[in-house]
Amino acid sequence: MRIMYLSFLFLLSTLFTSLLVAQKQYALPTADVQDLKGQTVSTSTFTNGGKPMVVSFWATWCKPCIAELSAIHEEYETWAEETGVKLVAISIDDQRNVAKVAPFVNGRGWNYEVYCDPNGNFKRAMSVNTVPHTFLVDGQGNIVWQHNAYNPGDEAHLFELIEKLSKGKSLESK
Amino acid sequence: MSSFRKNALLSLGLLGFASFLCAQTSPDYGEIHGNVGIDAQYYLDDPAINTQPVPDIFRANSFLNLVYTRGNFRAGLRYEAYMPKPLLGFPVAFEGHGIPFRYAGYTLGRLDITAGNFYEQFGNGLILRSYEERALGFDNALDGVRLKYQPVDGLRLIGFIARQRFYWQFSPGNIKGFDAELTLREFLPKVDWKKWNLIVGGSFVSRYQSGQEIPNPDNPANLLEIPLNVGGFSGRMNLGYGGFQLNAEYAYKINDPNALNKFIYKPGTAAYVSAAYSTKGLGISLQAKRVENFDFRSDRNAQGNDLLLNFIPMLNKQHTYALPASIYPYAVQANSELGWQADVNFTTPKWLNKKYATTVNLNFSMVSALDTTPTGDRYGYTSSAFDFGKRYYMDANIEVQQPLGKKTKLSLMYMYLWQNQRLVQGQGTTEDNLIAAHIAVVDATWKVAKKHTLRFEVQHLATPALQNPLNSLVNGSWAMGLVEYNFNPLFFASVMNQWSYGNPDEKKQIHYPTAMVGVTLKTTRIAIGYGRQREGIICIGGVCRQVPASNGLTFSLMSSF
Repeated sequence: MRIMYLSFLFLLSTLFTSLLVAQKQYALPTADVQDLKGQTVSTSTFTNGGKPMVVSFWATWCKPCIAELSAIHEEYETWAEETGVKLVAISIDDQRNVAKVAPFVNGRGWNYEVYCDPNGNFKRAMSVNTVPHTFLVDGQGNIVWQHNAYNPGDEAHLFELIEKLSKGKSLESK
Repeated sequence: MSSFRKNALLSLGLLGFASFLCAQTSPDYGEIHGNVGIDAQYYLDDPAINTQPVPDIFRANSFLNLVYTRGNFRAGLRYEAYMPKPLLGFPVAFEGHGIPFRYAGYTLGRLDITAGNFYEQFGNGLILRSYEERALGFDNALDGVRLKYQPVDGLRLIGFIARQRFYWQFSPGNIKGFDAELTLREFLPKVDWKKWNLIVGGSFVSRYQSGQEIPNPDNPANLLEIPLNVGGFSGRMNLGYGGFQLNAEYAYKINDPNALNKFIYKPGTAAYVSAAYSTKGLGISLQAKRVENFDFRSDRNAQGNDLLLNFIPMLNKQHTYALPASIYPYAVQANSELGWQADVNFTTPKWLNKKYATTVNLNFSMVSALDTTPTGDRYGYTSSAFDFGKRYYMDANIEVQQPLGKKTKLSLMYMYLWQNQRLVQGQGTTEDNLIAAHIAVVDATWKVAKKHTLRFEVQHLATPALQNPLNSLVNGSWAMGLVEYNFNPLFFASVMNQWSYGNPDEKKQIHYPTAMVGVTLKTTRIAIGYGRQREGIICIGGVCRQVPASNGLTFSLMSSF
């Protein structure tokens, strides 16, 4: 019984903690990732010159991730023209698939800035549990919104938020 | 004080610590975030699928990660609880709860220091990779001190001294590691590199483990002479020119008699090469690998997934559909492997397929054992450099994705799989058990209305039933169906059934139905499921775990903040 109670306590406390902090924005953490040439890059260099930035965690084996990035790919040019947004795609594929990431991305014609995080440095720093996990970063480099999982149509909501951000409105505004 | 009270206080303390830090809004107090997860199952008896009676019918694996950063300072911890016992299939040694992972670190200009736990990978991981794969109960975190230093632009040095996590204890071996990597573009910025890019690197990892008395298998009256220090070296390069990329690494390990190589004195080697070319609309990659006697652990007696120091990348496609991924999965054979893989991705050009482009992935892989000759002494065997020995595994597959309109998307996959089940899964017979299977998958997504999506999956695995099945519940052909409904972005529900209709034993033609409902609230996902879990092996990222059959109610919560 004690153990059940303890489990319950753990559940409650973690839920409480997460709810408490869920709304808070924080700066994009720093970790080392690799570009598609294998060169080490610090995430502290990620910037979009004051414009909004989407940071999307994905993997070559993750079907919903590919669906999300393919859907955004269809509209990416329009998005960039209208809001100046940039998408940074972080592949969490491990060394088994790292060499396949560039052929995969180019084979699909994606124009994203792509990095590999084969040992999960950035994934851990960003507290990502599962992919897809998408973050919206404002012009000052703060994470202002995040979402886990993808279903067709979710990208429309993401774009609404990007538009608000690029117009300097609050994300909660109508 | 009772341990229960201590536990409760610990939980409350953690909570208090987190709340205190969160409550501070001023940037002077730094930032805290993290993630939590709970996986719980209530087990039911189900003799039809060979469930084992379990004494604790409700079990849960939980964790909480907290990461605190303030300027150049960072600290974090992970609380884990496996109570009252770990979920079935996870190592029983996890039983209990505590804080197995905690660290503090500081970045001072070009120097970065971490004290406590950390994860690290050198190059491709051939001689060192420490990482966590929570879904498998795999965590070989290092615990010690690590320094990272960049003396000049383009040169990165890493050194550490540590022990490895072993459930709630530490590895008997002490690990030292050093890695240097030089990126020539950054090191010599004045040179006109045009489209060229070259990165070279080298690493050294050593294990010190005190001696022990191991009888010589050839002459049990004598003891084996065991090296206390075992060192591994590796050199690597990454060469790029425009869309071409060549990555090669070679690693060598001195003699390391251990439980898995049956205490032989042969040194180990590993070689990995990958070549890739890509341009808009087309990507091709080729990979090859040769691994000989290269199981490297922080304890010479460790087996299974325990205390692995290195990572041998698998050379086959990482399947995610249920039947291709889990009926006959492949597991790395770190002591003897020779294999290659080819992978092609392309999208049909606009002039051919104007409205909705087709995306195609072709993949072929083949992995064999090395061709070896026993020497009859403690040296073990000799091997030929490029001759294939017995084949382990072969996989040829094609996957096509085609949108059929704004609302419908179709994915089709066909795979031919060949496996020597005895060699790959090490199941206990002396005769090779050869499997050949054709697998087809149809996956369709239909956006019914704004915010409403349906997804359907049909899978079929065709293989002749074997006369002498090793794992009778997996023998013969399989069919699977899945329907999933999503109400964006809040709610999802799915029903699935796997059916072993081709089993020659009619009693073993079993349905494995499962149903699941869940909600996603921003970054929190809660799901409840009910059904049968097939006995088998699940593999994630190259590591596999045997899961026993089970039936019951599952609950899972994942959240990040």
